[in-house]
Amino acid sequence: MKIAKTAIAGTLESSDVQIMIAPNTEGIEIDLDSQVIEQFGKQIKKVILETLHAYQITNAKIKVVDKGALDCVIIARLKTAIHRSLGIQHQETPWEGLTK
Amino acid sequence: MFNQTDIRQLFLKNNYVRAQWQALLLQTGIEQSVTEMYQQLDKTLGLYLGDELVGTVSYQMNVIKYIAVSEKHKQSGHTLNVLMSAIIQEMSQQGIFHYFIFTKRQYQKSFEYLGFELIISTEKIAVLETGDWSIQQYLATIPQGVGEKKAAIVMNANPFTKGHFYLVEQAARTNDWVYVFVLEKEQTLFSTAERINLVQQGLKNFKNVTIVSGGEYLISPATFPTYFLRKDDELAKEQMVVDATLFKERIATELNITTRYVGEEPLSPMTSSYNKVLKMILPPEVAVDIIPRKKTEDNQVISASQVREAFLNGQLEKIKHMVPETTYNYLKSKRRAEQ
Repeated sequence: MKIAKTAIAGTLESSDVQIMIAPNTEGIEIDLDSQVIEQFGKQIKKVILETLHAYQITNAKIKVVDKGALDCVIIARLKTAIHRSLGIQHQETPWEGLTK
Repeated sequence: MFNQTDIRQLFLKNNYVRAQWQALLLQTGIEQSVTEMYQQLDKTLGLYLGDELVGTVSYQMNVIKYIAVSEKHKQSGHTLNVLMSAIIQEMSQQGIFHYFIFTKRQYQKSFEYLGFELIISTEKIAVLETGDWSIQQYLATIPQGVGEKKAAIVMNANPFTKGHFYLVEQAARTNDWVYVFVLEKEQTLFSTAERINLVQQGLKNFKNVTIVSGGEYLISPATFPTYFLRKDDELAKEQMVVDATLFKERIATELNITTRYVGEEPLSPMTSSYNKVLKMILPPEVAVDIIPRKKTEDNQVISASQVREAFLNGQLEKIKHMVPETTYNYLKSKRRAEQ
């Protein structure tokens, strides 16, 4: 799917993550800001790439400000950002079909 | 501990609410005189603990401002994070995804911790940004000029006159390349697109001139709002220093600009102080060349404000000698279209 609009989800509070998704012309660009980047940077990026892959998003800029979020939180926040960007309404959200 | 439900919008027209708000801001050192400008704010949020206002944040266009947290509730930044999350959410609902912050230098770290990136800092102020746009992206949109000696002119060109033309002509003669930055600000008579268009038409015969929009980084309504209010006070001075520093450290260095040309300013005290600030901040890395105003044959100073006045009064003949033919023709047809 094509990301044509910027959207944001999440907060800057402890154990949460703020994710902004914006249009990009060439591929996926992840800008990760995290206190635990040494330990979990790779894992956070992996989770983000997998989620984007599930939505078949190939071009996007992702800005992540992580405050120690668990994987499930990262996925939830990213999905919300994607849905806001694409304008998917809550009722249409294919939650079940998008486990990863 | 707080959560988002403790956050309410503050209606500052209410005297009681405003007094509470001002008292909190004063604790953080934001003077009441500054907060008298509250009517320009787009939205203000307050964080309450019971009936006590313990934190506040506002935004105006894409600038987050007037952030204050009461001393007792600083809690290692937690309160700040709650406020910032809430205001970013409010702004994103309005379609704003690029955020600026002007803050005291001692708070720079707190915002960097929230994903903000420093643009520049002066003795007093740090300017940071985050979101889907950045100064690097802005600079990447500007085509690089050729040659060794490069100059810049920043103009409002509201509208483009022979005075502007003369300034560019002087710069283009003694430099290999000239960047002309046109302020990005929608103004009552002429839109940004109209102004840029007239600058392009007026300068089309120069081979070594690039015309660029000033974006959000050169005398923009976000970074330098007092410029458009024509004020000349302490606050304006601080914004001038920010603007000059940003030009020197981020724009001139990136584009290898060694001279900035400005028009001499006998008529407006505000612009004249701005020129002084440029002279103070830019050298030695960037020279400031103040060019005396171009005069008409009958020794009149050319000024865009006279052109605007004549346009409004339908007396375009009076200023025909002050503007290039391209501008004159445009003004004539615009005048006709509006009648």
